[in-house]
Amino acid sequence: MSDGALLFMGLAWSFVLGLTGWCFYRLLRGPRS
Amino acid sequence: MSAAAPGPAREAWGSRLGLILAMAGNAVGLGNFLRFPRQAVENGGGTFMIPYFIALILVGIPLMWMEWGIGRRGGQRGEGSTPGMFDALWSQPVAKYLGVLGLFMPLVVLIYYSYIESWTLAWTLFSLLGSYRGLDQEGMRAFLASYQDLQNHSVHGFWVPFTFFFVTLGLNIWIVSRGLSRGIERLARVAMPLLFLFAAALVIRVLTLPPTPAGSPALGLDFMYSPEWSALGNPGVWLAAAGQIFFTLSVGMGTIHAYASYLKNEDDIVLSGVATCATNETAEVVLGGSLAIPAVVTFFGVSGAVQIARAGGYDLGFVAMPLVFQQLPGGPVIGAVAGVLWFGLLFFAGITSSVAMATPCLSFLGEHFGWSRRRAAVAVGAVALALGLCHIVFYTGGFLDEWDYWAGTFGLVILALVESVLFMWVFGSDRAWAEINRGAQIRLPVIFKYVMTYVTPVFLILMMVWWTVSPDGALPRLLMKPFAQSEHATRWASRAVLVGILVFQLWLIKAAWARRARLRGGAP
Repeated sequence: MSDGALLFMGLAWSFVLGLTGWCFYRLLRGPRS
Repeated sequence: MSAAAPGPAREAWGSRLGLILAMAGNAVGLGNFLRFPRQAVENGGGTFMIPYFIALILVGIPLMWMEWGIGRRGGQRGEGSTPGMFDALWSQPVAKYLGVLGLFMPLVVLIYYSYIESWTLAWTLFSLLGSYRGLDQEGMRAFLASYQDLQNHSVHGFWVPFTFFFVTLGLNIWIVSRGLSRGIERLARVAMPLLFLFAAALVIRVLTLPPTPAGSPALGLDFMYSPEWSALGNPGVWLAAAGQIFFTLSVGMGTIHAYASYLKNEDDIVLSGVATCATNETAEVVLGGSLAIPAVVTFFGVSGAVQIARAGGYDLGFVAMPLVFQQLPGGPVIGAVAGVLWFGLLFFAGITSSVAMATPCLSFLGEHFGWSRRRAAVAVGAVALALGLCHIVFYTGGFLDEWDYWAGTFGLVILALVESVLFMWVFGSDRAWAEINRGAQIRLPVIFKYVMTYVTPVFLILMMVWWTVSPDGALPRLLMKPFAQSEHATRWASRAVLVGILVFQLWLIKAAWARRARLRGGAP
């Protein structure tokens, strides 16, 4: 894979998985801010 | 004034996780696995992800919040479909008629989508039985063509597509007739984890494939994500990205409104809305982006993948992927298992979306005409069956393509624009903002209020203008320019049926409000 492809794939996956992980962490934590 | 008749207490979601899985199930559909990879490779590869994520933040997530907000507010007034919800936002008689779009689109899309969904059920069984084992690319194309064209009996009998359609539609109707918690939520709790499990198993298999003389999984990912910076200067790429966000999140359809109407007044919608989007994006970017294209590039090379991608999503899913499975190391058993996983996950993606599409009409008939859920489900099923047969019979003449464009593509932008203007401008941005934030589990940055008020509607207007005037847009299509003369009659007939459905639903809305006025003893 080229560096550019690796970079874009890494950023896209990090954003999506990071957002999903954060959302479910907050959902499971429960109490309102 | 709201027209919903007073009746028994509304149904409610059994749990928050069930709600989010059902909402995510509504969003995750065939497009996550078939449309997204094609859009990415055709619109700049890695650079496509820039406009894609910008559109997610400026259009997708804001529309998701708006629809959850409109839906929850409607539900508090006993309204589970958009005519009543719009009526509750804007006290003008025309508001309820604008809401017809939230009945029209889900019904129309349900009808043709459940037909496509039935293909995935059929191909799951074909994979299990080894029906396409040993076929080459031409053979596989003929296998699909024979299924789609009733005149072509070279592979499949006349009865095959009908049977799978009956079974698929029957399953959908049975699930929605069981109710929200016992039907839709239970389906989502089973189907969504299985979908992710099947997809993850296939991604691991695809990404660990050994290289072939044609290509490798790494080459496929490189093809998918290599940046083409010039694409960022092309407005078509930005609009393609926004369009993909639209389709993938199922916004502008009326289904999210219907699901959100079963929320309680103080239920969070901010975090739940983002969680729904994020779950869908995981299915699309991480799983959908790592399956079809890397697999096809591994066995057919980049040029072969380009050819297959250009032939359309159905070729990718129903022709190329079965060919890939036959070439997997491990022999026919592994190939059959991979086929069952692939078409099984597509079926789960499809059915969790199609049950959502049935919901607005069921809510409307129940709330406005006092029909039981079962009676409404049978009525919607009967309509879907009758009109779905037209798709099976006239598929090759472009009957389905017309519905997919006018209701499943162009119509979504119209409803999204109407709802964003009604909610943020007519109802008022301050009240809309307060509505969305009531019960919120996370604090939403105030900048999103301005995004929802100004940026999202402008983005939608730009999309609508582009989709009207572009070479393959609404105007040339309306004039039949892209189509062969032989298809014109079928396409006009298809449009006539669409107009008939729209007029009938407008009449139903009129009748519903007249009935309500009679019950209240007042004027309509």
